[in-house]
Amino acid sequence: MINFPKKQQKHLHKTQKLNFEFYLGVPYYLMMILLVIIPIGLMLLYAFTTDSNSLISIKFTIDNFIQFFKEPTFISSMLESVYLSFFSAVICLVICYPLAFILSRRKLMTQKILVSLITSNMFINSLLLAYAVRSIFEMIGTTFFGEARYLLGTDLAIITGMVYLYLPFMLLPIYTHMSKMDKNLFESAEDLGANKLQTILRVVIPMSLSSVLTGFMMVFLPASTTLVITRYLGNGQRKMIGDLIDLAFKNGKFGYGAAIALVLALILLIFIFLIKRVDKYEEVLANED
Amino acid sequence: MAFIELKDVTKEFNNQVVLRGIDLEIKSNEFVTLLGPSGCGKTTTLRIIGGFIEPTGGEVLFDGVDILKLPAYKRPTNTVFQRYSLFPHLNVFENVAFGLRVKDQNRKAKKEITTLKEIYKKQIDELQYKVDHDRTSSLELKNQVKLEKKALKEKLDQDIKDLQATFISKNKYEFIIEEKVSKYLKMVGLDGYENRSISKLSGGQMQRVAIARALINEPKVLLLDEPLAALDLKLRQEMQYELKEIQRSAGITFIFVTHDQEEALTMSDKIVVMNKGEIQQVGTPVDIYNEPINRFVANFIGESNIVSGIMKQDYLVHFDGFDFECVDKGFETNQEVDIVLRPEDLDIVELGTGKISGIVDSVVFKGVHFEIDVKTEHRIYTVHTTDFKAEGMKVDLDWFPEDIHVMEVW
Repeated sequence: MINFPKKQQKHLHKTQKLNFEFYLGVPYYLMMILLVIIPIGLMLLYAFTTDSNSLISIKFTIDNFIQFFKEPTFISSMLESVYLSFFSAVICLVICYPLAFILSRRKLMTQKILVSLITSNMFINSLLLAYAVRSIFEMIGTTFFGEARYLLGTDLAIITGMVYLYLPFMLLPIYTHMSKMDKNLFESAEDLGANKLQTILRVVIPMSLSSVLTGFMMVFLPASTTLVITRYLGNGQRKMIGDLIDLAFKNGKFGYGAAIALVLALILLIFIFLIKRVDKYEEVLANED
Repeated sequence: MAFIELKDVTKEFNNQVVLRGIDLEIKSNEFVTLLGPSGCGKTTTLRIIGGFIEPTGGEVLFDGVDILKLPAYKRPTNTVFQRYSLFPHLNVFENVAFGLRVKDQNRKAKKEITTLKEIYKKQIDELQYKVDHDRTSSLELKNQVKLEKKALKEKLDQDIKDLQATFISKNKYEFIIEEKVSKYLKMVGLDGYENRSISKLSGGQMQRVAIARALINEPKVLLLDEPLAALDLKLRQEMQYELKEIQRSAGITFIFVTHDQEEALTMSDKIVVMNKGEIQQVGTPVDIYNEPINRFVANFIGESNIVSGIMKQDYLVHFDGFDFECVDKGFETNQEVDIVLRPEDLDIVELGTGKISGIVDSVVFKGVHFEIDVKTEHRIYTVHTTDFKAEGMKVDLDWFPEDIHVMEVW
């Protein structure tokens, strides 16, 4: 009997603590519901219903998807989006990986300066950046081909623009990971008889693979849905998926736009899933238990 | 003959002298310990031998050959690092196999082939030279040379073929790797752990993996940089014996860095005591303990009472106001000296029967013995004894003449 109130108090204390932690999360839960779950729900709703302005006369349909898959130009622009952004991500990787490795082995001050220089275009509006690249291509076009818009709309122009815009997103994760890598591991690899190349192949690359994948997605995902690049560097000739969604919404076809966005999201998810499978290091960690 | 020789090795970091002229000889199959407080340059010395730091001056010889130009991966040394530095992306098996995987299994044979080709080229050139400088330009010689050349070529082809036949195929090498890895894992008591991930190992297990990984390359020298520092006492003592056992059975020279004097005394054939970038004393554990060369060594190895005194003549030393008999000689008359009296060599006896009298100042129970501080007229002496004495008791200190160790003042 004497113990009873004490026990109760203890119990109360525990729930209080739980409650506190719960309340701490409330703003985030609200934000998630308002900004993520409801919009996704709305998107699903729009994608699977016929366009109408009233909630009462709601009608479920998969016409939007059928329309999308029936139209070959839409499929082709979807493929084009994936192809261009994938290619850009690969080029970003080819540039950034050695760069990050070299950077991480400089003096700390040099590292800081160089990294802030390379990532400085993140602070500039992407419209301006795209416009700047466009101007350069126009300049080249006028000087060498006598036609300002000669190069606009080519793979070269679009991929250059994407690489220029999204390079920092590839560099930062890889660089951060590399600069945190234990330098002693390089030493022990050398001690065990590995030359510089073998050290890179057998230690540096497998260990930094997860950051490569992060960087890849950081470039690939925004690049595949970009509007800015196609508008300024595509010259209206290259319709990417972002343009299609944009067009659909402009014409008030919300259901259709939502359907395209969903298909795109699905494709990107599949991509992420496939890429994650490559990540052996994480796999090793996941298989431990 | 010395297997490893360091000659006047110096090292400066940013104009700060870390090593000032290290001279050291290490025989093969020796267990050598570099012992000293942190910052004394012992790890720097080890890293210079391993090839991770270039010395500012001096020479490092292996079997009489200077190896300073060789990068770390070409040296016949392997290292067990302080924090093990195991590869987190590889499991135990692959960590141990790393050294074998980066090696070209046919390197030796390939090297022989290139030397054969070089020799062949030289011989051909010589023959050609003969023909070119033959004034008679006889046809006979030409034909003879032609035949010789052909024979040489055939011989070369055959030799290369023979060597290529000894090439180890990838599958076979994989088999060899498996065999070797399991052998070395067994050696360090980790068989059955092959597929464990590194992050699931305890400190002691990680340390064993690090040792197996270093040993699998069959180095001539194993460098160990405080490998036991992270282990708890019991495990550390166990590993000390195991390391010694491995060193004996593998027949490898061990160079071991530690700041733990007990560790050094337990394992070493030879201890190198270092301080402030200089070698203080080199000797067997017994020598170092019983005959410390100066105040620093006496203090660092074991506990000691160090007293300043004067050497009056051979076998007679003066300190604390009395003359005492000792076994040391060879000093100048009235030379100032330091005297070491080990706490375990001092006896507490009844008042009036010993050499110096004092009062028991403090008593601390240490398990095996009591640590008793006896306050005398000039100083406090620490005594290790199994007999309990109460605080405040008036006693005498006694010792045998051979317990006094006299050192030059440095």
